[in-house]
Amino acid sequence: MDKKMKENADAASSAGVRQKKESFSRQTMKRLCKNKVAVFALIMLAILVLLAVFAPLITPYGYEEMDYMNINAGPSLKHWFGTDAIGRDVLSRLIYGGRYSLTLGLSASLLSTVLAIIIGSIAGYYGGWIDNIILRICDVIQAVPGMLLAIVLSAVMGSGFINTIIALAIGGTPSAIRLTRSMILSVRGEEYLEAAVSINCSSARIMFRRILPNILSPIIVNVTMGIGSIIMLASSLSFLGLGVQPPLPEWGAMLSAGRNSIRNYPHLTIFPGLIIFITCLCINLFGDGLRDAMDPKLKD
Amino acid sequence: MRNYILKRLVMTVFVVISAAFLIFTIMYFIPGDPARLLLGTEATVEQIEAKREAMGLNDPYLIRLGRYLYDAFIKFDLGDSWYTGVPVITELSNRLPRTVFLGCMCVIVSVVVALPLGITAAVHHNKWQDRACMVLAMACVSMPDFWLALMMVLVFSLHLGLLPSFGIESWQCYILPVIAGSLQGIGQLARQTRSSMLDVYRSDYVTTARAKGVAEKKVIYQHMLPNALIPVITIIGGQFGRCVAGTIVIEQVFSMPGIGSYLSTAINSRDYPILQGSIIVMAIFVALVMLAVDLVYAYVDPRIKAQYVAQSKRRRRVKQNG
Amino acid sequence: MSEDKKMFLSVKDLVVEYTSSGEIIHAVNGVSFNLEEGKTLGLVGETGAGKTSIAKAIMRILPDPPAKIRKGEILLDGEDIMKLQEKEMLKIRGNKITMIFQDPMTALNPVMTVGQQIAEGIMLHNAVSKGDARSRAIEMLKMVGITEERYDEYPFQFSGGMKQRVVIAMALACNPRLLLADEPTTALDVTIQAQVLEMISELKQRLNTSMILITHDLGVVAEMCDDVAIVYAGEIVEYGNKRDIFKHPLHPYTLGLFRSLPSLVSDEPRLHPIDGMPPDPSNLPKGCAFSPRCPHATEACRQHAISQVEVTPGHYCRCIKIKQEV
Repeated sequence: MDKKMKENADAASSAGVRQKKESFSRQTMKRLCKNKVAVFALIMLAILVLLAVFAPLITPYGYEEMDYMNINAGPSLKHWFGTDAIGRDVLSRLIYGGRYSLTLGLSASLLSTVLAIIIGSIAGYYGGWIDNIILRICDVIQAVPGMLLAIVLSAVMGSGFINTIIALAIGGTPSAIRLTRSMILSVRGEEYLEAAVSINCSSARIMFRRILPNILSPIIVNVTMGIGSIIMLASSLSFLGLGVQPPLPEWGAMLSAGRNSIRNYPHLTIFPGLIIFITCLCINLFGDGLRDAMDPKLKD
Repeated sequence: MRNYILKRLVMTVFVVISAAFLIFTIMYFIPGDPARLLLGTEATVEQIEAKREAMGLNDPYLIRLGRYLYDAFIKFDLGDSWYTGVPVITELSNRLPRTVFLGCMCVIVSVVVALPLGITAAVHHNKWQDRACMVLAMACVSMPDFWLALMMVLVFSLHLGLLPSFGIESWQCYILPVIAGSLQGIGQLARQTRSSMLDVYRSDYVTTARAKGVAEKKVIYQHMLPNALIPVITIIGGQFGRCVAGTIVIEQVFSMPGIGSYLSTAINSRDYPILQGSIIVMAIFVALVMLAVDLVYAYVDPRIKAQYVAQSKRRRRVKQNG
Repeated sequence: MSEDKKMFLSVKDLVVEYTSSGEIIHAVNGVSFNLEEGKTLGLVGETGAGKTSIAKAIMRILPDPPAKIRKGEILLDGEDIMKLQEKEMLKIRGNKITMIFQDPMTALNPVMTVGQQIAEGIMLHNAVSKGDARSRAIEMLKMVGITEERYDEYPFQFSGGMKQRVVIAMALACNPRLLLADEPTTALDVTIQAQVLEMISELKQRLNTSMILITHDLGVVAEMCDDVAIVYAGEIVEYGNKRDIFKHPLHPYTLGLFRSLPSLVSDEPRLHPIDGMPPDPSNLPKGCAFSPRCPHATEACRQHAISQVEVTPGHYCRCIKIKQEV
């Protein structure tokens, strides 16, 4: 009798959670599709991602290919966005640069989120001294403002792709940890958890099957918004001479390199900055749309 | 109330020491040998070793940490530049006021532009004014400030010759940097103001005010705004702090002699004492600004006196997320 | 409805709709009632029946983008206030007609002192100096049992019951002719409830204010109201004076309401709720809105809209079955 009751109760409660999640994601999709701006932003992003992924196939030139005849050339039919100081095609470099920027943004954001979910869940779920220690460490990291921390980390770890990902990820992690932790705390007292405990679900099971689906939406929104600011931070770092450096075609680095010849060859600074702007704009617009779709009440 | 101030002061001290600790620890792991760098490539092994002893580089981590914290906070000595030998603290005290001035200007412009933008968007919720303001705010947040700075230099200095593009001799020198520096702040503040106002818009006390026969304009400015501004104050404070960090790029682009350009030069020349000292000073500055914001907050919100614990916890979260 | 006497308040055929993401929500569907001066009308119904919308429509403080008053006349002392300009309506709100809201915890502005909030209403509608407004506000506070020293305190320093008293003081400060009370005691403890109701009752008698009391609690109705209107899905399904409704309830919904009250005298193994759920206001059934839940529903009930029938003088019911019996 007890075993049967447990099975039924378990099936009922997990069916409830699953059903809720299914209709929730379908509802979200519906709302998202109605938001034209967000859909447009998503399409633009998809184009950028495709361009970045298929860069070698699309770009007219390699990113290191030098055209000695056309140094610092302005936009023309041969080089749509012109060339830089050693004859490299700006458009091709921008498209390749997308690979770096987008990968940086995505990896750093994911790294940060995964760390935050794990650490935040532990802090929120177990409480006590573990929670305290984790919070103190977060306090210390947050004592230094984000950009400054990234600068210091990047200066110490040196330039380079992986190093930059780590440097960028660390700054945002404490606030994500706090977010996860507060979601776990708020959900901890909920009744359906008591019900699960009352039928002897194990702790890990509770955490993953009951808690996580319900706190996913703020986390997803946080990640999406985070990517935009990480890309911005990455290009700021490159602009200052840290992070990813030439000859790698990172957008911020290209801007920095083109700075000195801005008077004579403005195209070297206009285009890289423009693409950073468009990318961040699309990510932010999509992130906003996603957040509105996931919780329409938050919209206002 | 005094408890609240005391509590915040203690927290600030903790934050300041943590920042110094964190930065020192991170920079402890810088590759390369400072002694060798300073003595040059012809130095002998003995000379390098002697230099290392003199600089205290062979001492264990905790001793070096202690010595650094003591030097920094008691003797106000942040070390000397490896390249020029000038004490970091001297340069910083010359440059800090200029950066603070620039930061203040940015925040003031940001508030003056963003608040009306956010209020308009909220009051005309879902109409064209709302969308226009929010598109503008979104563009501000997504635009790289260093790019806008360069574009403005291109148009206004190089092509039109209207405004200077470097230095700080005249007030015109500040126009472009302040616009570029306040940009992100405007975007973020406008969005926050709008959402604060909308939160308040649907409050019951607003309906009560309307039911009393208060005219709509008065409802907005006397009932909604004072309540909506309370969380916004925290954001403004955070912006102040972030302005100081953000001016790094602006000062570099516009060649303004503040902490930011000092820092970016140090990055390029790998002059680590400057890097270390500047960042710590900036972090301290941010912490002090947040303390000031919290104190202003306490005066503005009558509920603080009774509920300061809940408020400060919540505000820390907003600050971290903001 | 009979119009023998000149009624103080006369609502005719009020229709209110909300538009939300393309759907139309029919909150109020042709409500009509009258109120004599000095009397209390109780609007009884479940949550979502449209009672608050009726009250807010009378004051014209419905949030305009989603809500729209499609049609209706509201005659106050013979004048249709639906036709007034906003400027003129501002003079009536808070002055001739005032409202008390449901949740006292959020009804007061957190950053203004309670005294200031009362004085604000006074100064808006009377040409008095700040000092006079302050005295009058203190007077009002005393009337609701709050001492003068608390004039300069903030809402967070008051308990729920006291906050509601401040709200009442605010509402009565300008001697309104009509008081709309939207579930004024629902959010309060039972003991405080009794106090607040008694206070409202006493003040109302003293100032001869007419009142519309919105509630879902039949006990409160029994104590406070002269006339009762039972609201279901935005319509008044039964209307009459208190005696008629309580002694001779007619409409199946009204009967269901009375039957679902737990009995204080006998022991019952189960409660008797009304079967089914209230209808979705964006998708109301054709014909009688109660027919899906009514044990006596016939095919005719589901076909067309049902009109009011005067069963005995002053006692109206919106039901085909009752109509047939009359």
